[in-house]
Amino acid sequence: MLELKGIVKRYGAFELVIDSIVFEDNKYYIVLGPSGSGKTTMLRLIAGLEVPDMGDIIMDGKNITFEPPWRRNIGIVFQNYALYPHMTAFENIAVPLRIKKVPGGLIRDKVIEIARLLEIEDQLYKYPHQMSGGQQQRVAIARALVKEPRILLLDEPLSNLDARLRIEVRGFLKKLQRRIRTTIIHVTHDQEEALAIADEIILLNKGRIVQKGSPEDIYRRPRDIFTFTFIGLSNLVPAEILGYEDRGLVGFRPEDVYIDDGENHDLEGIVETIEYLGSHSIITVRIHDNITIKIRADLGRRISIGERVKLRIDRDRILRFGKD
Amino acid sequence: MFKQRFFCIRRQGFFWGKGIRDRSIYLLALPAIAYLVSFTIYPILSNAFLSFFTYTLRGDAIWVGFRNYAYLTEDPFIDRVIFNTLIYTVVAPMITVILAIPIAASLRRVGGVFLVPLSIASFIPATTAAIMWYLMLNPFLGISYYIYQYNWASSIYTVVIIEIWRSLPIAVLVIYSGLRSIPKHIEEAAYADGMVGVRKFLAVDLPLVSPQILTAFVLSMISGLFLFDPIYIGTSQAGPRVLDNLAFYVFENFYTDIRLRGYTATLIVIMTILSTALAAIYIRLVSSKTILRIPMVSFAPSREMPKAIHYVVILLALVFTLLPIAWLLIVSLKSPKELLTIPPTIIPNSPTLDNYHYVISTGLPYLVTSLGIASINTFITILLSSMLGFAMAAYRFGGNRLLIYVLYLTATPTLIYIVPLFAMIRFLNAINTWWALIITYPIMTVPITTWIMYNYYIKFPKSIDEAAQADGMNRFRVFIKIAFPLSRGGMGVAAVYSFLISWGALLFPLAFTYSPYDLSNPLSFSGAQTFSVYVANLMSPVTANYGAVAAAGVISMIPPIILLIFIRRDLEKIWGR
Repeated sequence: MLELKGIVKRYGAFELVIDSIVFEDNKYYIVLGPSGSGKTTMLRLIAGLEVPDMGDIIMDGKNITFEPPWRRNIGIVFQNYALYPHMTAFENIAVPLRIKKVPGGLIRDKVIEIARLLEIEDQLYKYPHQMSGGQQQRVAIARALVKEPRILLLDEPLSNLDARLRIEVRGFLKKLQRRIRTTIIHVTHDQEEALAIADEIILLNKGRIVQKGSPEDIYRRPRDIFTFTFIGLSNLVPAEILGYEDRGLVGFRPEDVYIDDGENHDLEGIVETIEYLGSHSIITVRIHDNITIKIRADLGRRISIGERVKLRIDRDRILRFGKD
Repeated sequence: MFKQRFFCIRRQGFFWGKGIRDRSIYLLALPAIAYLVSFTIYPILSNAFLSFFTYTLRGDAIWVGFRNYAYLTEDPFIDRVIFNTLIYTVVAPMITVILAIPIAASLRRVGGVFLVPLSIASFIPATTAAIMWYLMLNPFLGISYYIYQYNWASSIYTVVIIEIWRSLPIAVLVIYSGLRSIPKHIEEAAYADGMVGVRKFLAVDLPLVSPQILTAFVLSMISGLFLFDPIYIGTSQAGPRVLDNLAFYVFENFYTDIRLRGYTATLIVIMTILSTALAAIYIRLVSSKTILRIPMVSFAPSREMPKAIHYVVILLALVFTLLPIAWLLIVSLKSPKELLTIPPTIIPNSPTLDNYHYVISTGLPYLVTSLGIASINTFITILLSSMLGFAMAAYRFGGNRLLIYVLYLTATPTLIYIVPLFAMIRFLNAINTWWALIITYPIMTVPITTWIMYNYYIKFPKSIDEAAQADGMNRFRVFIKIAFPLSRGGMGVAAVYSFLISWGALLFPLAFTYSPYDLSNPLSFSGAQTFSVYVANLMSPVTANYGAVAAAGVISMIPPIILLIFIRRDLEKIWGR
């Protein structure tokens, strides 16, 4: 179990403040936030690459705030993989064991075992520059995992991969975590990635934790407007438009809006754009002089630009936010 | 509030950034720092202290207060010395930079391949440079017979020419690399605005390289202020007190009479102040990029200059650079009789290798010392400076303060440490041994190589360093296992630099040694005069064996030229800053 308590870390005008957060064992955590939200700083504090200005970092009851990275039981996979260019994949993976003075024969067995797990056995005698980005990344993960760290830290691990490979690797990461049963803390700015793999998402904004919870919690029960708009597609309109009496805002997801030609509609407007996405379309509808909303439409009904449509919204799914 | 502030300071660390529990970083940085402090700061302070004393012949110190400083106004030679110093420090650098600008501009037009032959002048030892010019300008025995017969030896302008010859390549390189770093889109914008040729050069290029021009000027000034080797050689031809600048005058006082040691220290204090001022300007220039505004010259033609003109400029520069070297080769092949024929023969009638035989047989112990000391010093220097450079670049060890100190040392010639160093070496009983040179040479080389390594490691990928830490290495091990094996490029450049400086050094061996290496008892390592001293001795009028001088000069150029060929592709990394 890893705990951050009363953490403050400043860089010029930026300030990361974490009152308290606990990472339980064997869970996949994703730290999510826009750039500049402090998520990488949080990872670096956990890694020991930075020291907090205030507060403590406690791992399994031991205060490790001032322990340097090499005395913490962690593995890190960097965004650009950071493989040692002068060593083969095998030697790269063996480094943490060599440093721990593990006997040679055992090193061999362990490297091969982890390479098999990551499906890179045939790459072991290549140098980093001879491998593809995806293979380099697997070597980097193997190197981080081979010493069986208490916590594996992943810093934007998918951002250097192309779109197709990204989806493949993210499934692989989740599967891997279940097999090796270790805690993973994975930093990303990609909300789709977060929803797809996290057991728990920690959402950061402007150096503060805004919400912590399961992907469904975050998506369906966002605590504030930032969370609501940051994750997934969202519509935010003044409450009056839907007939509420207060002056706040209401939010709803595109998939909770239906095109309904019947009598019982909530809104109506004119179709402005249609984005065809294969399985469905996202349609922008102008419902007021300066308000548009996005709706998700299945392909059952033909819709054309300029058409007037009537819309019904799933009332149970509507989120109400105070005016702020 | 106070508690909170205090807490932050403790965690951030007062001097070295991170509050992590780690002592391994001191292992990296402290050897070099301990060395630099005890061999630079201590001598400066000790020297200032000595300037308040005078000495008896037996070596006892007597307190005289400011009387040494008062004597500065009475010293009969001081006017001449100050005049010469100004000429060497201001006039020579001005000419150097004025010559360097068109050469750099032409180089950019015709290609950088000519940089390599042009750089030779800066690679070969200053002593060798001086002897080749004096041989060439000899009014009866040198080329000067055919051009202009004049007693060059007793003119300070001979020294100025030699200094220009030696410092020109560095100035060209600094300005050339500045010109090359002008972004392509700025040039294209200039073309689009209708500016080409001279007009564009004056309106766009010159203002943009003004920081490099200033840097080249200040570097030449520093080298001019401490000009020593050509004056040492020239004085043996012209007689005492004719060519002296402050640096040489200091050395003469130091060398001739122990009673003058207090006064020597006083002169050194003056030089330390001057060089600190120059170093401060230099550090300013390195850290800021001010761009001078040059008024637009409307009469400058806006038309591309024919390439032929650029080739002519390069050709002239090459002739200026290579002519003395060619003459040195010619003289080295002449027989004793032919050497003394007037007019001198341009092509030797009966070329002979006798001069080389003579140099090999009499100069061997000097060669062994020079090669040995230069290699040992290069090894020590690379070790100390790559560790310190890594600690400074990767972990901000010492912060800006240490960086400025290192830069200061690179711009502070080592003459100013000479009096306390001599006392230190005598105390260690190491006068006239290899040890004297081994412990003092790194002062000349460690600062500049630390600066080179610092700049190299600044580009070292941070994430590789952090990955290594996460893999369980402390910062010392990160250096040994990861950074060191990956820094061949930077260390190559630093090693060449260090070897060249050590190979050509004249001042320290002159000051700390008095006999050649005793080859009959090699393990004593006693006797440590270097090859530069040998060359200088041959040049003295007592021997006046010009054939042997030339042969020795040629031999002294061999290692530098080999190194030049080795790093020809990295030239810009050395001086290009």
